[in-house]
Amino acid sequence: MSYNLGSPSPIEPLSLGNVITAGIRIYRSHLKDYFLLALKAYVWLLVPIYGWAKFYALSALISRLTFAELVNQPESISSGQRFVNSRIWQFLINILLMLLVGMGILIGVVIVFAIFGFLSAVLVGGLNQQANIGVYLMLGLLAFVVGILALVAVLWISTRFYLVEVPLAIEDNVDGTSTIARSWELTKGYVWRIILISFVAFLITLPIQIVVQIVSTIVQLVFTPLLEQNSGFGLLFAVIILALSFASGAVVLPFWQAIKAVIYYDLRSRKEGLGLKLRDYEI
Amino acid sequence: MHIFNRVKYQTPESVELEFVLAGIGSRAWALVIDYHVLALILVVFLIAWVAIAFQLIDWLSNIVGSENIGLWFLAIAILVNYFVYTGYFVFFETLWHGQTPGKRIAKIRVIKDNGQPVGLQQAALRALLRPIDDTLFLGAFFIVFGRREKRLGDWIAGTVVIQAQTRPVSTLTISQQAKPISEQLLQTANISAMLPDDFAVIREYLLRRSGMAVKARNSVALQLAKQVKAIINLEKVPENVSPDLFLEAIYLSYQQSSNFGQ
Repeated sequence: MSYNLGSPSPIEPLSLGNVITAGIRIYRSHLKDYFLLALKAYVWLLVPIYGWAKFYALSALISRLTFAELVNQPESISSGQRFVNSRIWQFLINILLMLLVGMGILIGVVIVFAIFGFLSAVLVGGLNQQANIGVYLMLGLLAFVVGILALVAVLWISTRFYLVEVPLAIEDNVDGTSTIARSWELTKGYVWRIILISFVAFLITLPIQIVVQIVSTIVQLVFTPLLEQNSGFGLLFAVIILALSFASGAVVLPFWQAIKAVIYYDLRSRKEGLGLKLRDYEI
Repeated sequence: MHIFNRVKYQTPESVELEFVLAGIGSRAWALVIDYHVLALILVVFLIAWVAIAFQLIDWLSNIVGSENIGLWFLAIAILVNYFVYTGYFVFFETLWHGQTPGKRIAKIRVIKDNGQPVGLQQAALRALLRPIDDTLFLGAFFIVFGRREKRLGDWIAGTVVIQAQTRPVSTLTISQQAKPISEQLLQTANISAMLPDDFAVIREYLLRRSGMAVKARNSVALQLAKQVKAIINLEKVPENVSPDLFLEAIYLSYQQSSNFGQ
């Protein structure tokens, strides 16, 4: 007799903590594969433009593989790679669009602050140098509030674009443009949840970051005296630092991509009833 | 879900119990909440303590005649700090059967290795080893890499952390029109061909549908309705019945035919 007392049923949406746990556990069980994929992605970064699209596509591939695990249809790396490679130009288009979006957000923030600066200048100037400390204090406080509001707005908007590359790597009939709409649609109403998940996940990456930090500090300490004696070590030093930062990035990247995939899975099951089907009926 | 760690217990009545382990995500989330609550408690205490100290220091040094009364206040504050920090976890885990406010929100619970609720002893041991587990995130490594997700405190106290009951009893709203259709279905269709798993999926759909996007919801309902129709051998759906309503009716008839509605 086997009871399932107090355990969540398999078709229920995931709790906040379980999203993170699921991501980590899938990464753990494919540690080497995902790490090597991420490392490959980082090396591609050295090639301008095409390489960046490659980096982007390979990161999305990690999410694709994680998602395949989540829906119980594991996929081989080579088959996944074929899929994302066939969409490499769409990934590039997506990067360019996201760049534009990023610039738009930046310009928006600049405009808000410019208006604020202008208004306060007018206000202080208009008071004809009689502005006392109280006015400055008020303005400072107001600037602080506006700053916080701007930060929250930027955070909110960026979270709406959080999943952008995932549908492109997973769904049919999606291209570099429509994947943005997909991310916008899926994240609707779940922005704060995603931010909370990211925050807790970030705390969990701290131990890894600390280990990486310790290793790179040691390497630097070892090489600094050598560097002083012999300038020929400069290049070697640079290469080692680069390799180290790539390796540490490649440790953390799959972690985030896996969690992203679980968030995507969870949102789809919440909003689109993913996995709600009877037996394995295919109609 | 298949990816989470599980533990099994054999009770003395040889009933097998299976629990899903809490996982690093929920435990980190619970800790984040608990530490914020703790910080809030401590800040309130410190503010109150400073306020009290300022009122009393002069008066007390007059009475005792000592210059060091301020140091005493500091010492007591540090001591109380420590007791609140340790006591918080002991207090709640003992009182709430292995849960703290954070664990409650994260839906996890501490239990003994044998599946029994934790007592004062286990809660105290876990709390005493917490500072060591927190140092350099030692506990996090143990939880991520251990098969039973035990941090040092769990090893010493003989406890594991599991997922608690997840969903509050949610109310399922079924429209009035579903009732007559379900009566009709009971007579014309072979409801008993449905398995409990099928029923669970339909129930899950009805629970979750309000949170779904309209387009996706319609297509899921249609899909499920088609599948149910095939399972229960229904020739034609009663007229003017939307997939949603049909599933509601199915839900009702299954409940009635298997009698766990009563």
